[in-house]
Amino acid sequence: MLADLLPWLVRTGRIRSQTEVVLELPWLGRRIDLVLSSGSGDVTALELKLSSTGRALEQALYNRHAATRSFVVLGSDPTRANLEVAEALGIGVIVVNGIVRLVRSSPPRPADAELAARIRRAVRDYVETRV
Amino acid sequence: MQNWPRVSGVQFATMLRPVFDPISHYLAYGATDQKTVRELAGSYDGLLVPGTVAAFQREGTGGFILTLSATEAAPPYVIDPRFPLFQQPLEEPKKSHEALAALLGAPELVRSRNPRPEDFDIEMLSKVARRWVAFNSGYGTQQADKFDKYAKRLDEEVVPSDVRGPEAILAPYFVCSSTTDPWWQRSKELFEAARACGTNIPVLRVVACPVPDQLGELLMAIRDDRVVVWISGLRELDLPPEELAEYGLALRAARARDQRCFALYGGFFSVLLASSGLDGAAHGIGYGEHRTWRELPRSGPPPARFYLPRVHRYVGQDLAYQLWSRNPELTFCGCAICNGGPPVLKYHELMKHSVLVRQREIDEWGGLEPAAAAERLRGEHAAFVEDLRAARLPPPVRTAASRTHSHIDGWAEALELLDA
Repeated sequence: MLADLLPWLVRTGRIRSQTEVVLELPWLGRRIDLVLSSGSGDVTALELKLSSTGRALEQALYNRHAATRSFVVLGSDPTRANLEVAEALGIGVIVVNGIVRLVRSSPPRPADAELAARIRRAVRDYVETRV
Repeated sequence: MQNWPRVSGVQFATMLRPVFDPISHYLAYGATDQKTVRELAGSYDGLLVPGTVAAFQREGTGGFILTLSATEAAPPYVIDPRFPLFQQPLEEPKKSHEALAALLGAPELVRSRNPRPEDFDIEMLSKVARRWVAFNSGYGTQQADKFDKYAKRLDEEVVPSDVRGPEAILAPYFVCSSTTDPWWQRSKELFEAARACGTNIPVLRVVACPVPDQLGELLMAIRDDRVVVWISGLRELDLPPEELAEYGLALRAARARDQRCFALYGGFFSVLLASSGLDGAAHGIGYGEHRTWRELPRSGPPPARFYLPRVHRYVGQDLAYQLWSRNPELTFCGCAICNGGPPVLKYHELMKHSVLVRQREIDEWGGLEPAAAAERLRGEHAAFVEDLRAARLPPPVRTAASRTHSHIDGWAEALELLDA
């Protein structure tokens, strides 16, 4: 999935020169699959799942409180019911199946201030320890 | 170092009150717990130090434990010999395993094949017992090298002459399924050999078994008036009520024989068993549900989870935050760490919160008889379920949220079986 997803994120401007990109960011006792932290302070969280859409939506919902945008990245089209849940919760849906398609976007929303600051710090700390 | 006086049977009981003084709250110490243990002095009664940690981190753990023992609060401590470690094949032994075996004078204890009872003859068991007793007896003097380093981290002045040794010596033991299990005979020989060393520190027997309904027979077969018990892998959250009740029945029968029990490991259900005969329990900081005698291939600090007071168990911080965001009452905690705020805490704050909540649970639930505890559990469970329903959680988290409380009815039923 990543091999197709990352170039697409660059092509669509979601990863730019100032963006910090972290795989498997340790966060609140678990890991977020992919985190993008822009130079302006916006954070995008993406949960990648070939299957288990329900679990992906659960994790993406958790990420919503800390990230400006939250996506699930799936291996196949979600059901109508899951799509409605994603829409209601402001979770974006990307499908990677040979090609990458944005099924619905994640509208930017103000995150919980403390969690937002904490996730930005987590990204910064993670990047610094690996440089 | 202060020495424990030689004791008679009556004095033995008095001196051991910290461990068997109901309801004692001990923390199973891990190497990452120093900050929590230090800052929460007074919020727990004592420490359980794993023998593997004590052997492998002699200077670090030793320095820390001994400086703490020299403070005004001076929590008592005991060292768990962790001997069942050598009752299993260790195909990828950790350095701490090898360190413990070396400390016991028997590096051959670390084996890649499945050990058999015949591998442990009386000569080896006697040597292991002697070395273990000597290690415990000399613990205060042998591990003082890092004293100054750790003394500086405390908020009070401590001196080496105030250092205390272990409160008691836990004899090495095996996990046994019955009195006819060959491991039981070996376990008895280990205890007798340890006791025969003639130390002036009380030696306690550990009775360990894999399932609850085996404990009663083992306890009935010994005449000790103080016993440390451990049901390996006792999954308090998952076991059927009948099996949890078996544990309570074994403890109750022991109490009727004036046999007092302390659990080497236990979660909230162990607190509920105080009125059935459990005088106290130890628990890992950040761990809570159970510990199994089979070694895990990996080690490390516990995951950073939030202990949810209303359901007496750990949950993911994410889920806890979800619940809080919908209704703060679902996750409310008035401890000095949470102060009624959101359940997203830093790592050490999570650890401290879990210890403080456990102490509060002991204070509020430990004295309840089974029927009263069951009634309270059911009432609080119903209130939690109603609050959860009213929170109207989004579909993706409803399943996870329902799992947070699914164990409560089982606990209540187990207590009702005890009351029957």
